[in-house]
Amino acid sequence: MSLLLEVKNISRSFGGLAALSGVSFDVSPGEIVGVIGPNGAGKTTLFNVITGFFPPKQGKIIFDGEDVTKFKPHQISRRGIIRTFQADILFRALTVQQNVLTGLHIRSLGLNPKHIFLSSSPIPKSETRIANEILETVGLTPFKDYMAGDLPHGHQRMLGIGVALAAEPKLLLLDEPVTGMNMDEIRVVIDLIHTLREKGLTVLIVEHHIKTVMDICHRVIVLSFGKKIAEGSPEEVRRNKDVIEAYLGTETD
Amino acid sequence: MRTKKSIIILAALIALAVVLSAMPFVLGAYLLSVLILLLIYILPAMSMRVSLLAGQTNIGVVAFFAIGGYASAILSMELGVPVLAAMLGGGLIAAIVGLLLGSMIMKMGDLYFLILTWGFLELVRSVAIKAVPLTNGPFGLVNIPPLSIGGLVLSKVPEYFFILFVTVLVLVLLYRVEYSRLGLTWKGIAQAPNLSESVGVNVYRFKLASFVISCFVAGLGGAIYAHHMGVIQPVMFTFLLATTVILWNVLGGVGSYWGPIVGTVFLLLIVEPLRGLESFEMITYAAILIVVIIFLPGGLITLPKRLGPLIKRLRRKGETAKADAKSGGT
Repeated sequence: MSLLLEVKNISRSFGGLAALSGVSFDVSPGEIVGVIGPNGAGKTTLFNVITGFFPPKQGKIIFDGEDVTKFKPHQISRRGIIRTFQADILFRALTVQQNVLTGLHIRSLGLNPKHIFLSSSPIPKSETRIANEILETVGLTPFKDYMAGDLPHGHQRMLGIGVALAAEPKLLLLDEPVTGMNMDEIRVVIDLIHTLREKGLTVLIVEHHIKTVMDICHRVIVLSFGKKIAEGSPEEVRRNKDVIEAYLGTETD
Repeated sequence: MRTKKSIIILAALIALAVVLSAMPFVLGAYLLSVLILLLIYILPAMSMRVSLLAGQTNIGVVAFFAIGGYASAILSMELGVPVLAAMLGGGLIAAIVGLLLGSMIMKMGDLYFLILTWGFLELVRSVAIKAVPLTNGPFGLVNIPPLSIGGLVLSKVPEYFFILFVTVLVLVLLYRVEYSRLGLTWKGIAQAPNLSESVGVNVYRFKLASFVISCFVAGLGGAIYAHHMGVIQPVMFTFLLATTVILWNVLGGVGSYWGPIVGTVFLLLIVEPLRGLESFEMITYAAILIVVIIFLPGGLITLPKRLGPLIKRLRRKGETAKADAKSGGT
């Protein structure tokens, strides 16, 4: 079975500070892999390097057999790696439905003059239908015409996942998807990820919420101060001495 | 599915169409030419909106307005190109210049972009003044061929309808674009460029496209202007005009497609009655602008939304005042 993502020896510094040093791991198709670590461990930097927002100083990212290390973010997205964000989660001044519609850009640029000028509405009904289906999947259909910026935080993150899904990811990178959500919403996200996995999606998830990570991940990678300090099943990682020390008992529930 | 709102809008547009069609038979020559200028100016106003949609401020709109005008005039006068084709050519040349300029300066960041497009106006004006063999320098080009279709020169009334037609056509096309996924992509880029990148948008290319389209529309407007006025001179393209284009957008409202149209109409209409005030014209003009911006920061198109709660409050005050009066007051 071939690897979907290979992260090879990634290093990245900001100024004199090494945000990542020599981080390596693989992700196989269909896995759900969690990335955890105390604040400042380099988790979001890792995502930024994988998705092309920062180039690494050293190392390679291989996706589906292709070296994407030097690719620009939109090129990496087109290859099938789609991420969510912690800040700048959404297009706040667009409606919920419009947010999801932007995700369709991967499938079609939306530049067809027949659609824009000649059809009954500037956005083809087929595209609106796809957007509505995704809204149904993430449970946001009642909020279809609300301004994204007006949604409560938990719903905003859910919408962020919806936008990512519209872009047809092969590998979904979730950056702290359940932060600010209550237990019911977290349950919905967990169920959603399970459903997506059954459909063949591979997920890499950064999360502080340890319970969620333990619940859904096959494997967990632990970062601390930019280095990988542990890797294994959730139970193995939980018992790992280095991991416990890194967190110094400040586990968030 | 027709909602009540879209029926009202449709009715309003039809009424507007009827009124505009009657204008040339109702207005005197001077007012008709003011109306024609208003229609022409809507094009650079909307062209700035196109670049604003993607988060960029194309202050150089007036520069491209000038390039379109000069290009069209030169094409028709020096190269004998028929006026209609020359106007399209003016728009295209403005777009090509925009493509060259945009691809050079866009990667510098939005602030430098703004400053450099502003500076570009000065550059264009200097070129117009200095390149005498091409542009006839400060005296400009005169006897520019008037608007004609297939060799038939359009007299006053047909000219008005032609300009009205072109303006409405451009407005309809821009409306469709703004409400299509292309418009959404641009708005997304303006709000969260990283998120746009992550759904596969080549942000650089789409921003450049919005700039180039903005330049085309401005250039087309300039071409129509040149053939309507019959004259084109560097002194017509001032920084004041550039600032006014910004005002049309900001005053009308940058949050809505109708903003620039409302802004242009409002500003050009209030200038007319103010002319009689002579020395007080500028002060009154400025005062009106300040009042509008203070009370309607979202622009004039937010007026209906703001009036609603205000009317409710006034009504409530009126009712409590009546109740007080009835009970003999305090």
